[in-house]
Amino acid sequence: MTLRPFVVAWKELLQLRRDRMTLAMMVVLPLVQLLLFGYAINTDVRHMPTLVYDQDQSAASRDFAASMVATGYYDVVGHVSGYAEIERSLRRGEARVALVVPPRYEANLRAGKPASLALIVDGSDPQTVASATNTASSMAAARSSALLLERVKQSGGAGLEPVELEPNTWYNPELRTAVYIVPGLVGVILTMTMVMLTAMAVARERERGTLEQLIVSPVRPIELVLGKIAPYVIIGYVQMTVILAAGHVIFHVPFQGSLLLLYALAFLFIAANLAIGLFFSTLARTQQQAMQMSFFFLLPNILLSGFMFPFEGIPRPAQIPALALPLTHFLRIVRSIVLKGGGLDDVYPELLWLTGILCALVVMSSLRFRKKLI
Amino acid sequence: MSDEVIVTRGLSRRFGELVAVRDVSLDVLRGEIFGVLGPNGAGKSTTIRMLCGILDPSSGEGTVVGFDIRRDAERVKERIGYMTQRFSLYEDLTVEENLKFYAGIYGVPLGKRRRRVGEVLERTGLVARRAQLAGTLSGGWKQRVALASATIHEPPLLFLDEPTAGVDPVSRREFWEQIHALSHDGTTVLLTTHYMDEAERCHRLAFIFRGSVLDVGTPEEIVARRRLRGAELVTRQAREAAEALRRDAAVEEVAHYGNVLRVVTHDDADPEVVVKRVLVGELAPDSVRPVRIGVEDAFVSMVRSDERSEEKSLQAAS
Repeated sequence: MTLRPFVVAWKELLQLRRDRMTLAMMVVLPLVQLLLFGYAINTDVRHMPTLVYDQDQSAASRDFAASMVATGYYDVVGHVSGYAEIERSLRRGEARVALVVPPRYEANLRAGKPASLALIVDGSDPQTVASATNTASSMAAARSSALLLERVKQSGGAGLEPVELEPNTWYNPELRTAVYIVPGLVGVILTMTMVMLTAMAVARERERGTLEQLIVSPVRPIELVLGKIAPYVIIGYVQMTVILAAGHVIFHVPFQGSLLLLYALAFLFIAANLAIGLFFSTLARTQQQAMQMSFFFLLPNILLSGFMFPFEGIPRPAQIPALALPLTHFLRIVRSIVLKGGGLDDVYPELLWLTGILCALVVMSSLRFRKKLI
Repeated sequence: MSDEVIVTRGLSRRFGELVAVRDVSLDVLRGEIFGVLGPNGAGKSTTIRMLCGILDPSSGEGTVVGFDIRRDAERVKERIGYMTQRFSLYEDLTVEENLKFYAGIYGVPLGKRRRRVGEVLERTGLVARRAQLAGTLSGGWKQRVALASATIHEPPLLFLDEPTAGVDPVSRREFWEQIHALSHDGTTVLLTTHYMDEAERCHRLAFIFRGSVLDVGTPEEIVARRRLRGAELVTRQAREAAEALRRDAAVEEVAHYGNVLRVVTHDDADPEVVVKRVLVGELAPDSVRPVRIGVEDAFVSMVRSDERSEEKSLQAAS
């Protein structure tokens, strides 16, 4: 082994130091993304603008509407007197939900006849539908069982208690989206910057003609690759630290597990992304192409890895390529360690996956890199 | 130790059907400035790439600085300097950082590195610009840095691939001073060029055309072998005069330079006699004077005769 990898790494660091823009991007980008994703992504839909079409105008109907507002999910924005008005408001986006109380609602309740309510939901946003209907139906169910109990008690029946389900959410009891998103963001940002920086660093040498000069020199491909990617591994760790620290300070993301374990396992993930970047660089002729490929690669990562949508919800055929993405496995690792305090024995299947993917990538890109150099 | 720095025998390289280099046999001696001439796509770069050990020959063999280009490519790489057409420098590094980088890559020992960088800066007149970013230098200065980088490890053999493309005439002249200084100190230089005036500054030349070496020798030898003679004549009817001359069997080539026509004859025919014979009456020139035949004339004539002989063989075949 010679000192050449160090010479290459030294040169790479010098170039990075001169490239203020890239350097700033590497620190600012994670922060901006953290704030964007942390604040903007909220799968928990509250304060949906709601219309009430009360054809009954009774105490019972007003009571139901009031308790809907009390859940915090619905904001009554108006009372209407016809379906046409509901339709127009939904179409204009002024309201997302409408509660329709039919005539004789209270009378039916009293008489012990079936009493029905209608809930109209704007289905163009599936998130709204789920939140709006789930909350309202559980409210209706609760109301029914309360009524039933009352009746039973009135008629002298005793000892009848309803079955109660007490939900107990672990690891993120307040169901804050940021807690879920921030650890995942570590993976997304690393994927983005690691792939792009490596791909561009090699493409730049090709574009400038310096790669030709290096090929004629006694530097071996492996020495060149090691020297070129070493500085980016350091940058990867800096980014990871920035996101985790800022996530902890700004969004109070807890840190349950071993930091050391996470940083150790992150090495596999960073290396896998660098190998992908290297592979792209053998395909790209220019820096622009390298950039485009990196962005193209980012999209399936965001959509399929489980970063934004639960992995289990992804259709089976799409799960297969998703399993080949390093991010899918790193997300499970980082969430397990950060949020659940997972240890090595909890994440070792993912560790095996990552190792396998890394080996495949290294073989693939070094084969291509060698061939392309000569 | 032998005095041949490069020896090749029957070196050939094929890319699929295409024969890029055919049967090239060269001997380049220590301290020589050896020029490789030829039009684009003639096989110059392919030849250099084989000699540098980055492209394996399809057949034939060669040794460079005493090592086999096939088996000991890595040793060859350590002992040669190479300068590309585009002066591939890191534009975002300073002059000195570029030199330090290449010193490291070529394994100049750490203790010697600083001294060596200082020496090269001194020799190439770059001391005042050592801290300047390479990207902000003009073409001529970039060329100096590229040459300094290529010689940082004191290689006994230096390859220069069209080293003066896109450089102003003054810088070119200074560059050649440096090349001669290197050669004087015992460095062998192999370069490719398009410029014929540069070809005449080489100790020896090889003409490559369509992958084959047409001739090797000193510029004088090559010119003499063509048995060409030349004259310049001033005429007001340059076009008509040129046409008339081209029809004559003794004329190799006629070239326009404003009102001046340059006539080259082959087989040692006296151009003044030919002009007097061909240009009579209205076409008679105002003046005629003999001129020296240069490498360019020899080169053009060689390419033409190669094309003519190929046409003949094609006609014979059909």
